[in-house]
Amino acid sequence: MINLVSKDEKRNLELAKWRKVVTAWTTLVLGVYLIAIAAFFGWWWYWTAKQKASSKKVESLKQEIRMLSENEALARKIVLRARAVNEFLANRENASAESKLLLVSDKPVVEWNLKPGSQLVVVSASDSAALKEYENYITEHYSSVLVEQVNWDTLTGWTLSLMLSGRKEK
Amino acid sequence: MRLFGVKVEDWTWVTYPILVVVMIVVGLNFFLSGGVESLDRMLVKPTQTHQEELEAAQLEVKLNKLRAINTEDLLLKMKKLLVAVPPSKRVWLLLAELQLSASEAGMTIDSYKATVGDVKEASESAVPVAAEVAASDLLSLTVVYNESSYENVILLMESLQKLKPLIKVATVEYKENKATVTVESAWSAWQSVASQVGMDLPEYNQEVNQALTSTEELVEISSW
Repeated sequence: MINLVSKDEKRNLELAKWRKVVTAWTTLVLGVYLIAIAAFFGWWWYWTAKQKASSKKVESLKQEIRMLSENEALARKIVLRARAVNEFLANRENASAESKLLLVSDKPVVEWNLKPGSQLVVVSASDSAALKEYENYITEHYSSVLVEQVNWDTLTGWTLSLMLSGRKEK
Repeated sequence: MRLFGVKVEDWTWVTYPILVVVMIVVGLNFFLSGGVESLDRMLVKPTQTHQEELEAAQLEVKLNKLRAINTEDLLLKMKKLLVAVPPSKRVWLLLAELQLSASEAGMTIDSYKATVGDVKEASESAVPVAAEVAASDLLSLTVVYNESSYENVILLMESLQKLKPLIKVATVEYKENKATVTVESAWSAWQSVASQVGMDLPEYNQEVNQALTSTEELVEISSW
């Protein structure tokens, strides 16, 4: 068979084929690149706008809060004052309740020495059984009851001296 | 036109892929070499924005709380609390309280001995130095009552605990119908309040109401 296509024409055909392939791939790559760039800048623009908006909002809220700084100072001061009141009340021992608790009829308190955390009470009674009864009563209310002294003489009669600490219920 | 035996017109199309490659290389080079910092800045935006949105939400909560504050009501409550725990040592008020308690308990005062220290009123903005506060922290007064029974002492304790400014009975020595009572009066200097915009507002209602409820039944000694 005789090849009628000239060498030049053959080369041109080959070249045209390559040109098509390269151009198509280049267009594809360019398209992908442009889409990626556009997506990136779109993302960047979105977040920049969003950040600007949130910064503006934060700044405006801060400004409003600064304008209400007197309210804030008042709220902080009243908390501190209320805390001082509550702490003082929580830390003070109920001396009134303690003093009432120690008094039992027929067993007068002749001495009472209240100190932070402990107290000494001296009661007098007609007989030792009454003192024992008083000790039992006190033991119900204090976790630590130490009998310091039990005395009897003709002048004062029976007396019981107790050192108390650790109130069971307040 | 021919260049090195090649027709130039046949190769003009090559400029298109070459330009595209150059454009891509230049673009990537901008991001990966000279533009890394700006790229970092761009990438940090979502994190920053989330943080700012979170901050805005917290500030909004705080702002709503601040708007809800009724200053008149709060000032009234503050006045009541200041009666219970004054901002300075009020030794004359304490003496008045002790006299009132003694008369309520049917006792007579034999002597007073006070440990007062610095009584000058601290301003609201003052920040007392810690050592200074510790040294002059207490307003303490020792009172000797004569001719008193234990029942009188009970009444005295009851009376002392129902007065404003608040009083704490520190020690009691009762012996041979003579009572020696040491009391401490409540006071608390103004403290400077650090208020920063970003700081949360403390929940004050519960503590304030608790303090007011605990002290509302107490008897106020009028100012001297």
